Amino acid sequence: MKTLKHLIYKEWLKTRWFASIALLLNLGVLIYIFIALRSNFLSAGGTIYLSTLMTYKTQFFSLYRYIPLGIALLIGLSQFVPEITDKRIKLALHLPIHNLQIIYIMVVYGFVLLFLTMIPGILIFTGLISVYLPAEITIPVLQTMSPWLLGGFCAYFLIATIALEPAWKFRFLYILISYKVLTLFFMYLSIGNAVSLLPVLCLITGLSGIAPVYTSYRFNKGQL
Amino acid sequence: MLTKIIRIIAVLFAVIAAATVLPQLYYTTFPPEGRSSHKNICYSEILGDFIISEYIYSTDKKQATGQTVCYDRHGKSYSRDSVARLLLLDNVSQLAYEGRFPDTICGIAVTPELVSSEAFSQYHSAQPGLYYGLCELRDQKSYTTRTLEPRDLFRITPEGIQFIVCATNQIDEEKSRLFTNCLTAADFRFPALRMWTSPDKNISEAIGYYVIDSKNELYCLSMNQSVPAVQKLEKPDSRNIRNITFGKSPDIRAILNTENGNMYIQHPDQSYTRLELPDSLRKSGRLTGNLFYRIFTLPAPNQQTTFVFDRNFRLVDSCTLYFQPQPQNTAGIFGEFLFPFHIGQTAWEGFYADWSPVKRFLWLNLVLAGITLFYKRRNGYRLSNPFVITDILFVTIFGIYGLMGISAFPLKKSREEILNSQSPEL
Amino acid sequence: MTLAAKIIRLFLVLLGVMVLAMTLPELYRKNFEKRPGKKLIYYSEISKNFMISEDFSDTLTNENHIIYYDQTGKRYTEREYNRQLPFLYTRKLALLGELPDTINGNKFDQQLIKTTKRGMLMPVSSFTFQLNPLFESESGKVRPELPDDLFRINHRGIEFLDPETNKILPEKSRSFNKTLKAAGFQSPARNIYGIPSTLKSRDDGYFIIDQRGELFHLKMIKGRPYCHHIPKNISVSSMKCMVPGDLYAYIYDQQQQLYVLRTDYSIKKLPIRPGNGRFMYSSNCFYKSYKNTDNDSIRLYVLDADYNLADYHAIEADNYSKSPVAQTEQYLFPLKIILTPGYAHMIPLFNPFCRFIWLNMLLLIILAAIKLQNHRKLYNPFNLLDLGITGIFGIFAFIAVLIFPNRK
Repeated sequence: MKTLKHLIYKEWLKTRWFASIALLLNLGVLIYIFIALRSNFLSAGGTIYLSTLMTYKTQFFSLYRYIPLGIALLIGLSQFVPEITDKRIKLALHLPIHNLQIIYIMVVYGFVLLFLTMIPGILIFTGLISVYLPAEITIPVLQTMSPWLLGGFCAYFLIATIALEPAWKFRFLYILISYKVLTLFFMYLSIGNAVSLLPVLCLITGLSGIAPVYTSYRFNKGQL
Repeated sequence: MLTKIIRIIAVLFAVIAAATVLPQLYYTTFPPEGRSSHKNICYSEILGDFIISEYIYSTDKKQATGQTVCYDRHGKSYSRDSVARLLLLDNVSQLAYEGRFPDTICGIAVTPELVSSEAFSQYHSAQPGLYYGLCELRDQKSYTTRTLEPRDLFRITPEGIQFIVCATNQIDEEKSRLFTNCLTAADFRFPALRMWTSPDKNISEAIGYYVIDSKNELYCLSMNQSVPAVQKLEKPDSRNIRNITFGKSPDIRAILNTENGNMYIQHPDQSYTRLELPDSLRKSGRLTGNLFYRIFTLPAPNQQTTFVFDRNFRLVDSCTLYFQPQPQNTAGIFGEFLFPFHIGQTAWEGFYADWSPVKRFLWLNLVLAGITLFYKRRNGYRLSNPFVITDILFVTIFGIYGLMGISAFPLKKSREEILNSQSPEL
Repeated sequence: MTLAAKIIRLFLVLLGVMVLAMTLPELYRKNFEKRPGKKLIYYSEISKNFMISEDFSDTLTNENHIIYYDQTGKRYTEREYNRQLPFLYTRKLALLGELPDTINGNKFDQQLIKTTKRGMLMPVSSFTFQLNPLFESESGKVRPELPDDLFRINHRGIEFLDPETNKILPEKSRSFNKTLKAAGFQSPARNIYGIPSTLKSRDDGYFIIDQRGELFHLKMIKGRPYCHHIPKNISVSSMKCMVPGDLYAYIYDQQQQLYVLRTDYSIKKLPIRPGNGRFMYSSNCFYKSYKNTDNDSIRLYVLDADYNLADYHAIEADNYSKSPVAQTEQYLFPLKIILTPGYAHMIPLFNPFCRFIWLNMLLLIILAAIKLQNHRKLYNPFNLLDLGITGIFGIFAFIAVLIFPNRK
């Protein structure tokens, strides 16, 4: 139990500033989207603004598209780059816990941090826009933003997977495949059309969540 | 020394960045309350006078609706129903739908189809827009067969006209030579300064391009069954032409602006009529036409002037509408205290800086300057250092932007200053 | 490697196969596809023939000629061809002074030309907001005006929403709900079809599918609700509402068969084979024609004013699938995965010809050789699975298996 706390503290020391920037970035962008929405809503009038929004399917929230990816990069890189420079991860592996457990404590920590950075902001955002927009618009908007959030989680897991891979040749190939996989999450889709893609995206995110097991296999023998 | 000067430049950039972003963020967060009324003006052929309709939003903020009131220049009000009968040319579709469209207007026999076909609307700008110098010349007879569809683009260089075949990116030497000879024979001096054509494909096909050569003479360039047709045109006056817009109506071939602000209409017979409009150097306006009139609307800050011409372009009447600026709410007033100026950018005017009234923002600026002075002295900066003085000056002039700028790029102390501030006086 | 890692690796290989199946075929097509000659087919109201034009223009070789012929094979010059299609080449014929005076006994004037309508019909299901403005149908104005509220139909029935305050209007909602219930409507609505914009000359209201799948017509006439149950014996998949004319809407059923809903509420099945469901329609007062382009043919159906089949012609068109490049593609890719427009679905399209099997076998042998070179035991189940996947998914699996190595 104590080692768990120490491990988590070590991760926190690595990621605290980056996570704070990520949190501010997330909240900042979402709140800006809201005040821009409010300003346009008030100046055009509700009737005309909603009519225009529904006719042209304007994505007033498109500024948020790559923010989850950016947050995943901030937290993932700050967490795993120190481990792979000079192979410092072997310091952690000397702890008296199973190797896979150590790695997964790190990965789960990152996932929870990512969750705490992104999701509260989204909940606040939903509450704010619901003041002006009815549910028939808010729900499709959230459905359109969901692939981006899932993409953030998937990107984080892929960063962990790639970082734990020893050979640079394979790392490069994984980066290529990860890029192609992530384009599925961030491509342009008209409002509401993404809902049918969500099951596949959840599956891919889940798969990427267990992918670090594959690249961290070499630690299982206690060796590097 | 060099680093200190680079720091000053960095601080100024930060000031510009803050002046662009902060006011925008502030006014988006606190938008003006309520909506200003919309005003619209039409000329009544029956009345011989202008009728102004205003859509006034109700003062009850919960209500989205408002009311339309109509009145003429002398303030006499009209109901919406009677207005439709006075503005026959502007309400054709509605009146035809109700079966109330008359057979004659002002003694001229009319049908709804005739009136609709005579109506047009276009914009004219006194300043020319984006220009790439690479254009498409359509054959005048390209409507007869598909084989005459253009496959190249042309440009007029100091060496002559060049037709570039799109598919191969090569110059069509033969065609270019043919056209260059034709232009030279008409006394054209290469290169062309500017070219204009109509955005309407059919009109562009029929007329071609109006080209200004390097001696500021006006030419018309077109192509008829692959044979070049070049014609030197008379300019409306001795000045250089600033912008040309082609007309959407058959009786207007083109609208030209010359560099001293005069506006001319070129008729199909290539004669010109000068429009009695005020100096319109930097304005763009809207031209609408109907069966009887040609109406120019020129906007200006908080106002709009409408000029009505008859079909011979003689001025009939004009009227200026004044728009009341939106009353400032508390956020707006507070903004004037907070922001000394804000920098914006528009496509028409480029960059501009809008200053708030000095007596408003000066107070905050002085307070901030005082805080800066206090902070600097607390942390051991010598006032004899000219860069410290510059910092305080920035804050006094640029207010909150200056404060952000000097905080983003803090003044580094020199070695002596650090030593002096750390060790007590010997 | 542990068993867990090996199993996860297999899933990663399948993920790689999926990603490559989306990327490689598209890359191949983009690089090698040449635009084939365009064939267009139209129906001439004058000669009652099908006029076909074939465009041999190739901007890269600067070739530029088009041939015109009809279904009997008779050739036409460009001018003769234009003269056969006055509704299509109105401006050109007018400038050349060759417009016909009469067609089928009717004077060919502006009014006749105005009856022309063109558009596209697609059974694509795409997201639409279930919140719409209910216009006043008989306002006395030439165009409908945007109302001050929006309506939705959920399990509580119809609700009118004030956009400014985001609150329900109880009175109006109650009054419309009564009418809906009286017409037999069961909330919530499955789908609402209509034209929610003011750019139409008349408002025809909305067509709503209720929870049981029944079709209703909803309008607001002089502020009062109007709801009419439209009897039908088909299952509606999607509808496309038309601007005012003799039709309210086109209906697609589950098999993508087209029907028309006419203004007397009758539903008529169109004598048109569904195909891929995408039609370009062109209608005037004489005929209504529907053109369907699919992979290897273009079919044109001509219906009379009563939507009965008047004529039909199909021409073979080489829309990529017969070109040599497409033939090569058959040998390469066992499947390709595409993303559908509208609601995004990833659909695998399996190669119907088995020509890729040769490449698969070759890659399988190469993979086995690589494994043997790396001293792997081929009878190991995971190695066998690798070879099996390569045998099925060909080049995608070959690359994926090498990207995610099966390490000792």
